[in-house]
Amino acid sequence: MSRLDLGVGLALMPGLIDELERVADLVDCLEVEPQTFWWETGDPDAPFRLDRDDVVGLTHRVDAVLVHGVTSPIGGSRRPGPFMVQLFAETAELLGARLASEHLAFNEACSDDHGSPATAATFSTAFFLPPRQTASGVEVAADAIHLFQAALSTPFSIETPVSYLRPRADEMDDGAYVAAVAERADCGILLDLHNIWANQRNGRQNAREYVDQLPLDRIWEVHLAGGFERHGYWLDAHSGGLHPELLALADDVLPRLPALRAVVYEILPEFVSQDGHDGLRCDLEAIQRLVAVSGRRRVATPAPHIAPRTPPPAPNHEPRDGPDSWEQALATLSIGRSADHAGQLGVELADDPGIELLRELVAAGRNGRVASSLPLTTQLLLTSLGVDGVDDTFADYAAATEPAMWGSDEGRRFAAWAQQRFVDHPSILAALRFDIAALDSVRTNHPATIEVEFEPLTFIASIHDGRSTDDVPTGRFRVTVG
Amino acid sequence: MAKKLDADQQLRAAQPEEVTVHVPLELLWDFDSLTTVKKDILGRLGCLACTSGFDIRWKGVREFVVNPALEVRQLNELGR
Repeated sequence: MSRLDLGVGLALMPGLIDELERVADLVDCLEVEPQTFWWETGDPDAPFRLDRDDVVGLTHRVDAVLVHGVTSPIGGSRRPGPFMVQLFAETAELLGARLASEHLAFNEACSDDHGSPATAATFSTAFFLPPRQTASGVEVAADAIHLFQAALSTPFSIETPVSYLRPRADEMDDGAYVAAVAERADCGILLDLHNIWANQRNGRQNAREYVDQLPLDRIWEVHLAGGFERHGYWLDAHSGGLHPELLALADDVLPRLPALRAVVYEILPEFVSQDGHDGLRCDLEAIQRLVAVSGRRRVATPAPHIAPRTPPPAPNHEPRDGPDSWEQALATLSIGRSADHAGQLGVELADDPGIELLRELVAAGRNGRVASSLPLTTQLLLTSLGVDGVDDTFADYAAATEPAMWGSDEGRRFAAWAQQRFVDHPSILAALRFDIAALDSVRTNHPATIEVEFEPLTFIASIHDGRSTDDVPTGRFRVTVG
Repeated sequence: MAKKLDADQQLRAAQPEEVTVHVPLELLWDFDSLTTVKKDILGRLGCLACTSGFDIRWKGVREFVVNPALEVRQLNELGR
């Protein structure tokens, strides 16, 4: 394989599929999330099934595919489940993926910091959080990476994480930590330049110094993206646009990477076109120019050679708090629990102003998943309670429950909670039944049947129009949804 | 916006008891007008928020619903 043989890629989400034809001349490869091809089954032992027809349909549309996992990060002490790893590998195989990657982060923690990580009850943050950057943090990440490597026939890389926290004296430098994990696991690095540039802007390690600490011949893929500022932090928001400073960083770094194969652009579908400006096309053109220039420049470092090296020195002594305590404390705070539930480290971490931002981001994710999976209910709540009322409702829900990883699970969890909260509001209860029936129908691929006391078509039309449901005829209605 | 009911649907809707009605997902979730609820969630119930960024879906719904002109504005304001 030759340097930059996969060219410029686009991180594909379902909402971007319709854009592909328009930018086909600028996209050499696609990075897909394997989860895009998974359907819920409702079976706890095998919670998803792979849609092989969809995979085949995609492979006919593009020459090269990379896979990028979004549910089983490898930076925490909770190992990815074998079913998920196997399904990831199966999807990668079917896609003929050239590269595979996951996030060097965690999104799950033990419910308390006393149990064994292997057996204790856990909770999800449904949001990537930065891992513990210590020698033992390196070990747990390497163990998780080995699970993927054992299942995959595709080269596996770890993505450099974003962190909104302050740097800590008891941790390794960001770049040194990523380098140590990659060397220990003998894997590649997906260098997300937007992440490490955001980290720099938010007070962490200088991005160029970060890159200097990495084994450059392990960097096989680069991510670029846009973000925006919120509460003084630069967010990894995938919101389109390439900041000039980020482009300058890429211009410096890309020519230094001897084994680089692809530069992939990440953007959420909602930001593709803004104010009539075709941001997607504009950004892809900029990346194509960057890659063309980088490809022509001579790489100063030796030819690609992946060989085990001696890891950089660990801190003089392992800090008091290991990865499991870190994960329990940070996850507890991030989902909105008080420091009283987060141990001694949690009390200390609570002073970091980044915690408030993480709480907002985790809550925004939960609200988004509820709004997306229960659209009829959400619209009725907005009509009935107003925006502030729904915000208060979501806040109460978040305080009473833990996040769910998957959108439909968050929807079902909200529905179970809301059935108690709105027990005296028959129209809200009916809307919940409709939405849950729709989720059930999608899950089973068969219509779901419910009984409601409102004439369904008028009821639904009233909600969509933002009108009161008070005048909807009532009776006994059996409704099939799907 | 509400879908227009055909004559058969109106007839069935007028009967108050023991009525069976089929509601397609496209009608229930009103895909044509609620632009922030994409058709893609039908098949992939999940992972847009499994990122380290900012989930804008609830903000999009808020702005869409509260704006009587049915214009989606918030995404631009957030992103730029």
